[in-house]
Parts: sequence; C-alpha cells; structure tokens
Amino acid sequence: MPAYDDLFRLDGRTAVVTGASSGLGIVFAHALAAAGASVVVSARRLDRLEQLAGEIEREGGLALAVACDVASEEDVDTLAAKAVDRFGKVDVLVANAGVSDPRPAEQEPLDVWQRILAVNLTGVFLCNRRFGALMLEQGSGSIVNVASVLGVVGAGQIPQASYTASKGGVVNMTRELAAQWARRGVRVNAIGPAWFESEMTEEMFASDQALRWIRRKTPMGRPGRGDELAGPVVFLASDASSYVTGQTLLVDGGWTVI
Amino acid sequence: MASPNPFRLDGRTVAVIGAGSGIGEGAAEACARQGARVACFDVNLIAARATADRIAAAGGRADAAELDILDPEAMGSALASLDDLRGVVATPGVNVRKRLLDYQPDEFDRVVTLNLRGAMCVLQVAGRLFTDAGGGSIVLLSSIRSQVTEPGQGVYAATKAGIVQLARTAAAEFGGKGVRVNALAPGVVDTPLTKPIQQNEAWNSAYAEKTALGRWGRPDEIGNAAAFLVSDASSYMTGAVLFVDGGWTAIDGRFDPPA
Repeated sequence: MPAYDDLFRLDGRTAVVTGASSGLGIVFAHALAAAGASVVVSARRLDRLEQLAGEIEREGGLALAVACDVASEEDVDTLAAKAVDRFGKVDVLVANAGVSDPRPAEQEPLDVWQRILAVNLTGVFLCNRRFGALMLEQGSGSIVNVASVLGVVGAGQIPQASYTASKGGVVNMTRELAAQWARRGVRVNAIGPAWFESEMTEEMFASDQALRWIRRKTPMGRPGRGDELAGPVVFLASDASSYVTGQTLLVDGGWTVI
Repeated sequence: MASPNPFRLDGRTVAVIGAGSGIGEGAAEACARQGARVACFDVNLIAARATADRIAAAGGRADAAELDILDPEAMGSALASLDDLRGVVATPGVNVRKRLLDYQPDEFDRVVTLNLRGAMCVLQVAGRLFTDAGGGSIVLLSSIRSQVTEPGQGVYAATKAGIVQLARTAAAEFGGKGVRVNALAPGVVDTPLTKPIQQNEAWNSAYAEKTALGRWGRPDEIGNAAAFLVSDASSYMTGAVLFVDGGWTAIDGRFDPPA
C-alpha cells in the first residue's frame, strides 16, 4: 500500500501558529510538528515560546519562536519576515491568538470591547492578509482560523458580546477570504471549538458548577481534550482536505445540535 | 514522533455501505489506505467485489458482500458479524431531477425511501450495535442540497436536509454512549451518478464555475473526509456537517465580475 497517510501529513511544510504560548496553541504546535511540519510559534510572551520551540526540537522537529502581538501590523510583518527568513516559505497558518473577558453586555466597557475585537478579529485579519499574500505569491497554502461555537451560537451563561461578535466575524471572514483566494491555490477554513481546557477557560474548569453545566449541555457528556482539536486542524491544514474551503468545522461534542 | 497518529485506522473494521461506486468507493479506499479492514457492502455485489479486489490488489484488506440499505435485518446480521467494527459509512442515494409540479408520487416515494429511510436504517442498526458496544462512528451522506437548491432538486434537497437533522438528533441521543454521528455534505463530485451532467459541456462548466475552487470534486477527496470522521482525529466531533464542496456553500452568485 502506498504511504497514503502522507495525505494527512505536512512533511516539508512550514506552519505558523499564533497564540502559541498557552493551551490550545501549544497543542497545535506539537500536532503540526508531529505531522512533519516545521513550526513557527508566536505569541507575546517570548520566554514561553522558546521553551515550546525547545521541546519541539528535542522531539526531533524544527521550530522557531517569534514574539508577536497579532493586533500590531508591524509585529505581524516581522513575524512573516522571520518565518520566511528561517524556512523560506509559509504553507500553513493557524490563527489561534485570542482573548476573552466575559461580563454582561450592559456592563461591558468600550475599551474591553475594542481590545477583544482588536485581537480576535483584527488580529486574525492581519495574519490572514499577510500570510495569505505570501501564499498567493507561491500559489499554495492553507489557513486555519480558530473561531468558536460562540461564532455560530450565543452563550448567555458566560456572557460576552465582544467575544461572540469577534468569532462570528471570523466565521464569515473565513468564507469571504476563501471566496477571494480559492482559485489562486489558497484554502481558508476555521474550526469552531466548544469548551476545552486552556488558560482562557481556567476559571471555568475550576468551577464544579460550570463543569456540570458543560457536561449536562454537551451530548457527549464531557468537555473536549486539547488534543481533540489537533486532528481537525491537521486535517484542514493538509491535502486530505483539498476540496474543503470556506468552512467552519465545529468541534463541539454536539454542543450546537441541541 | 511518539504519539500514535490519530488518523490511522489500523486494527479496526469500517463498513462502507454503497462501496461499489462513486463516493462509497472513495470512502472504502481511503479507509483501507489508513489501515482499516473494510467491509464493502453494496446492493450490486459485483461492484462491491470490484472495490474490495482493487483494495486488496493495492495491499489493503477488504471483503465484499451484497446488502440492501433498506433491509435492516440483513444489515443487522451483516454488521454484527464483523470483528472490531468501529465505523459505518453509508452513501447510497438517488435523485430524480424533476420540477415539483411534475413530480409523481412513485418518484417521490423512491427518492425519500432510499435517501431518508436508508439513512434511518443505518442509524437504527449501527446505532444499536455501537451504543451497546459503547463506541463507534457513523457517517451519513448529506449534500450541499441540504443548504442550497435549484429547480428540479426539491425532493432530493428535502431528503438531504432531513439526513442532517437525523444525524444531529442521533448525535444528541447516542453521544452519552460514546457514539459519534456526523454528516458529510459533498458538492459536485465526479461519480457514475453525475456522468450525464459532466457530458453536457455547458452544465459541467456551470457547476465547476459555481464552486470557489472552480472545479468538480473527486471521490477520493470525499473519501478522505469520511476516513477523518471515522478516525480518532475527529473524536470530539459529533452532529457536525462537514461540507466538502470546493467552497460552493461559502460563496453566492455565479457571475464572476470583471476585476
């Protein structure tokens, strides 16, 4: 049998992961490296990135750590320049950097709203624009944006107008960029996770009440494990999804079916 | 690398109902190449055998048997006889393209019966088997027609939308037992069923143009997605509809305006 699972692999490719200093970003970086990609890990906190890059290299992969605030045009340009300088090209972008700050809408200050939108929506746009341009030049590439189930349904119990608005924006921007770039070799998709343990959800996972709510409301009866997002990300990044573009893959244990 | 590859299906059996042609054949081959032993079922035994033989010739493991998706008893014993069954992919479907005002009752019954009752049979038989066993993954075939339609596709579209809600409800009902149910929604795919369309040049190119990628899909591209949904790489996905449609449903309009 030919080594067909090469289709689900990323050997020889370069992947950039934003928000790689914590939780899910770390999982994505390890998964992409395990699939054979060289990985550029970026976030604002360089010390934690260097530790991650070291781990990946010790496991036999190639990694580069670059500090980057995705809301800064200049930082994103620098990230792209350093990635190309080290690896020559970028084939995969996982736009994962995101922040959250739940509070009721009637008490959500404008500066909180603006900060969430700046990272979660503008930051995703800036990274898609910069790395999309690189990929269009080389005529190939796959972008995976990290949206959320809260991009397609409201939360209510964990109230956050800005977060849901930003993720809803990512879902439809993903469709639009897919439409603009499809015939020039660049696919753009998103994943929509429900509840996964990460730095962002630390408080939730420490609360029995919140955990009970997740278990009760999720058809699979449990929150997700970080590694369960790795498969969907690698699938969308790889040639196994060559006819998939503009989609948001919901990885939610059934959260949105009921 | 140390961690096992979650996309692999080694040591598992996957049953593909409709494996004799088109998307079913693509799914069977993809699962076999990921290491699964594939049970190829089709109402056409010769076609099922041909798929199994091709898989075996390429070094994979596959068996073939005749199965009518509308015969739950036969399906029950066929699936129960398989060791290490972890996934069921069901692809059979039929389309009678005809405008609503012209549709005949027997045509309606034929499309609804095969597409919707067939999916229901799979959910009941595989659902019982997998919930008893405490795990498994079921993949039903929906279509872009679950979301968008065109003149002449009304009944087919209704069945494909119906399959989505059956899959979502099954996901809700079986989730606590570790059983995942997802729907694959292909766009236009090069299969024996769509050959007549592809032979009409204007129709063929109109459909290619309607996709964002500007081309028809191949059965192996749908098969890869089926293999992903069967595998542990999608272990937290259930009740999802995965569109493999070249961006058909992500965009609107057919006209490509001048730059």
